[in-house]
Formats: sequence, C-alpha cells, structure tokens
Amino acid sequence: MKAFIVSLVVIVLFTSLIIINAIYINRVANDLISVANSAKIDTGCEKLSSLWESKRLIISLCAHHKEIDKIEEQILLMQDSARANDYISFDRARVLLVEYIDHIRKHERVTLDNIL
Amino acid sequence: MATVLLRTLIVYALFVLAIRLTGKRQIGELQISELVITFMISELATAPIQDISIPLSYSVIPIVFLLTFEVIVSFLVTKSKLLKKLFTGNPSYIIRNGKLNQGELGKLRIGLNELLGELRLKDVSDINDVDYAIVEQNGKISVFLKKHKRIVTTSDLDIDVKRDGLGHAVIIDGNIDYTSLGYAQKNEAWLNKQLKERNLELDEVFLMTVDDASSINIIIKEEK
Repeated sequence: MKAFIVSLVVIVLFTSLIIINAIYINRVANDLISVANSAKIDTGCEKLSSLWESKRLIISLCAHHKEIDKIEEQILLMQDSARANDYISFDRARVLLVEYIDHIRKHERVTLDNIL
Repeated sequence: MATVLLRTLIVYALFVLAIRLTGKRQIGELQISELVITFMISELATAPIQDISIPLSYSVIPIVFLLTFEVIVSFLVTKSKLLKKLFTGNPSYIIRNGKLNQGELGKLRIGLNELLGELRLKDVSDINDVDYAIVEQNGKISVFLKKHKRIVTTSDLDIDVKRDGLGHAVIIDGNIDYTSLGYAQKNEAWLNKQLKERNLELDEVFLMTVDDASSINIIIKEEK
C-alpha cells in the first residue's frame, strides 16, 4: 500500500512537472521567436543571444542537444551577418532560427503527430 | 568522456534502484509485465549513454514513470481478478488427474519432447507418474507426482520430529550479523556467552549458525 501511494504521488508529481515544463518551454519559445523576429541588422542581436543564454540550460533539459546546437549556430550566423551587414544571410539565419525554436515548442505538444 | 562516465553512473544507479524496487525475483521468475518493464528500462537506460546529444531526462522520466506504473499495476492486479488475468494470466494445467491435456499443450505451444524434458529435469522418468503438471504464470512447470510415487515423508510414517527451522548465520568471517542474530531471537550477550563457553574469540570464528531450536554449529577459521 505504501509503495502504491508513493508511486501514485511520483506519477502525479512527474505529470505536473511535465505539464509545467511544456507550458514554460512554450512561453520561452514564444519570447525567443518574438525577439528573433524583432531583431534588426543595425541594432544587432544582443537581446536575442542574452535571452537564449539565460534559457539555454532549462531548454537543454528537455530538447535534443543537436537542436540546441542548430539554434546556437543560427544565432552566431545572425551575429556574424549583422557585423558584415549581410541582410540576406541575417534573414535566412533568422528564418531558420525561428523554425528550430518552433520545432522544440511543437515537440512539447501532445498531438497525434507527436504520439505516432 | 567525463560526461559519458557521469551519465553512466546516474543511469546505472537509477537502473539498479528500478530493478531493486520491482523485487528480488530472478529474470526467469518475472511476471510478463515485469519482464516487459525490465527490457524497456534496459533499452531506455543505454540510449543516453551511447548518444550524449540525447538529454538524460529522455531516459530518467520514462524509467521513473515505468517503475511507478509497474508498482501501481502490481497493486491493482492483486485487487482485481480481471486485471490479474490481463497482466499475469492464469496457470495452465497440462496434466490434470494424471491425464494429459493435449489441447492446452497445443495452446501453449509446448511440444511433447519439451514436456518430457522438463519432467526429466524434475527427476520424473515416466509421464504416467505425474498427477498434476501446471505451467505457472512465469513459464515454469510445477510437477506433482501421484501419491504412490511421492517421496515418503516423516508425516507419512507418523514420526514426530523436532522442528529445527532455519540456520541463521550469526557470525560470518569474525563479524556478528546482527540482523540474523535478531532473526534467531538471540542477543550479543548470549553470543559472547556461547563463545566464552567454547573458549573462542570472535575473530577466530569463520561461521557460526544457530537454528530455531537453538542448535549451534561453528566453523573455526583455518590458520594461514
């Protein structure tokens, strides 16, 4: 009976943790996407990179590390493009960055697509 | 590489804990659901060790979830007949009242040679000696011989024997095993008294056992 109650509590705790994590990831992804979309080549992307740095650890707990690497690669590309005033590369990197962040966000959703 | 090492240690600790919590049974004695859980956990445990780009949470969360789910299912199985049938199945009688149940044998896909082999492993040379043969939920076969073929016991002969119970190892390699001492319902003072009566020091004893009838057996350490 004791083991049953402990297991039940653990399952409830884990399920709550997973739900909270999904909500948090969704919120962080929204913030990152909105900051990425508002980033301009002349103002650089310091805000984006500092926001990413502050959230990176928590995202890496639940996202595949290859996805984290891809996001970081695009942020670096955006920074480089901003320094070189390369609008095309900057926009391409931004589109890809938004796509990768969106992928992490979608991954947390309970959809038939994700389940199957 | 340090990451791999740390991940291995974490997963190892978690896996050992998981197996420990599911019980002390051996692999061959596992119920179907326990066997499934064991395979799944072992697969989940190795994935983040082999590929460090997989977050540890991908392994830890399913392992903890499976483990707790198994405990919940095991509890519910003891409470519900339907769940018990669903998760563990029922024992199958392949020989009942000395009669071979060929239909059940076919259903379980057990060949006659296999059955005869199992009987031989249980020192049964003739199938006609078997009263009952039951395939248990864990796949093992229990065999009960016909009454006239069973080993004669003291109760068959109406002999009254003194109960000796289990021999508890109270000293192992010069160290007192307090748990076994407790099981034997003795204490350290009693133990010291026994050693003193035999002119023995604690570190001279290799093994000392006490059974439930208080019979003592001592093996003294060999001199090196």
